[in-house]
Amino acid sequence: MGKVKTLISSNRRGVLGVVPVIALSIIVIALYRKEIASLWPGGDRIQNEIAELADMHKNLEREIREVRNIRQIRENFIRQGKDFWIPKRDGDIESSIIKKIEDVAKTSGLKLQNIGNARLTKISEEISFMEVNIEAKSSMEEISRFISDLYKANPCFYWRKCVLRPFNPRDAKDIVLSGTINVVSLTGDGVAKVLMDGEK
Amino acid sequence: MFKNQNCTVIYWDRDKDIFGAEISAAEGGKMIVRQTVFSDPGIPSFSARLLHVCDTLSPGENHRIILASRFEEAICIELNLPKLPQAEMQKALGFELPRHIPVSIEGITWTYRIIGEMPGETKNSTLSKVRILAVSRKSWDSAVAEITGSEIKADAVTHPLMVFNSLPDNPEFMLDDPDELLKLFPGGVGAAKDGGLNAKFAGLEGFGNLSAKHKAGLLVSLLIGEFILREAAAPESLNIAPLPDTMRPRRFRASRYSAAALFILVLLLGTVLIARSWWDARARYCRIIVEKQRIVSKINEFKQEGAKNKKIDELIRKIDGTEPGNSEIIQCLQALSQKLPSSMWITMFSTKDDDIDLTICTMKDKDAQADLSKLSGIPVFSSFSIRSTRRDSDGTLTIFVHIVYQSKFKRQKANG
Repeated sequence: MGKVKTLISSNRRGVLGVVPVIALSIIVIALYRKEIASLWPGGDRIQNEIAELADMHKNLEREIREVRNIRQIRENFIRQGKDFWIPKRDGDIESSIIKKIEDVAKTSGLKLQNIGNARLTKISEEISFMEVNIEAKSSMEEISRFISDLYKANPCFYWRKCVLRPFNPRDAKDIVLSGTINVVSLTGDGVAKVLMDGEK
Repeated sequence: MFKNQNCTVIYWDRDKDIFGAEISAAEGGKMIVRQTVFSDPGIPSFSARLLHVCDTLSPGENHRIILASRFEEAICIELNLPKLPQAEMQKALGFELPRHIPVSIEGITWTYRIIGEMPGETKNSTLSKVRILAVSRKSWDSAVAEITGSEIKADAVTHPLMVFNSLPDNPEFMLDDPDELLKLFPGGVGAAKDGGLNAKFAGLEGFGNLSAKHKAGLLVSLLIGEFILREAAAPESLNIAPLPDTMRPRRFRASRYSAAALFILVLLLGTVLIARSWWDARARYCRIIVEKQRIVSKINEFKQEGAKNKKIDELIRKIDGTEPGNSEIIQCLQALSQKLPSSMWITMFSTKDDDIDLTICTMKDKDAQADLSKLSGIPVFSSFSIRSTRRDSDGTLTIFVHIVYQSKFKRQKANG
């Protein structure tokens, strides 16, 4: 102890210089102890980090699955862009849809007795349904061909209602078709652009 | 502490004739005189003679080397002092000595040895019998200079009287008289003067043929050697004054250097181990952090992608939520025509969204149930049920059937 006192008293200036350095070092260590600890990470810290990393991997796998599903759905939607009526691409639906159905009927050799009563129903800001009633009397063969050609045509024609019955219950030669055909129309500019780009 | 096992004693008398002996401890308290050497009178220089004797003895690293001299104007006295710790004894003697010696204390160098203890004046007090040997500083410096000049190394430089058990009346005379010195080796058997010497030391067969001077020198060396090997105290305690570092023997250099090298190697390996451990921990930690950052950035990327396609995703959800109708009427008709047996025919087909109502007629009502059950396995239909039946007068069985159509989207979902 005496030696230490002598050492301090004989090196007063040095001690005065060392004391603030030690004090500053202690403050710096206290303030940046986490950063200093990360310079030499211990086993516990690494284990905690590994556990955290494992959780993050699980989250990532879940996210990847979800994103993959969403991408698949998005790709399918873009691939099936022709199923929808896009006014920007296909023109005004109200003036064109009846002609389109008549063309299909003409191609399949079916003479429609009645077509009309087109109604546009707005489902949301971007989605609308265009419903058209049709009626025809013909052989089952022609009616089948018409339904088949309508299935192959673009956009996709949905049957809201479809009734097939014999004109005369005792004779199945003439079949009466009466139904309501529905077409989905997408009016949003952004969606139209995406679907039209997808077709390219 | 440990007793010394080997020692080499080199003693020179007033005429600077040098006598050396190499002594080892043996079993049963005996000692072996392995070698005796006397200085060559043909060598004129004292330092050279000293070196010659030392080289001839060539003491090993495990040998204690004691030099002894009859210093000029040496004073040896004994005092009885109260029993004190070593540091206090030194102070007490420094205070007491000037009153007992006829020379100034500044001009001398001195040492002491506690010879024994004796009862004090009071009942419980004990006195220490202390032998003090003082040598003029000039004489000491001269002896040290001569030893340094010879370049020999020593553990202690002392006066022979320091090892005597009791201080003789005429010590200087005694140190020159072999007969008197022999009396210090009691316990011999037989009439021979050197019976006690032979009982304690082996290897002194030629002792009787030596001259009186050689005998005296050798006996002094043996007395010192016996003291060193018998006493557990360090030989350095006999030193009259501290010796310069250059005079001290450098023992076990190879072992010391090897130990130092080993220590440095261990230190180096330890440092490498710690550095490696740090490096590994740091590298592992950094890899984990980088991987975490990668995952975070990947998840952010997904979030950005979701934000970018938010409108389309919402639109898809909305479209999925709508019920536009049945687009696969042709598939339904095809499935029915393929699965229905030829004995059955449909008289009416009616759909409303996903619900399909059929009117089926048959003449063979026996197998109707089994035939219709085939319709339930068609993928485009999710459910199949018979609502009612009717028997007409002509025997025809009319069956009213309800089927639920399963859209392409729902089928894909069901198949995962």
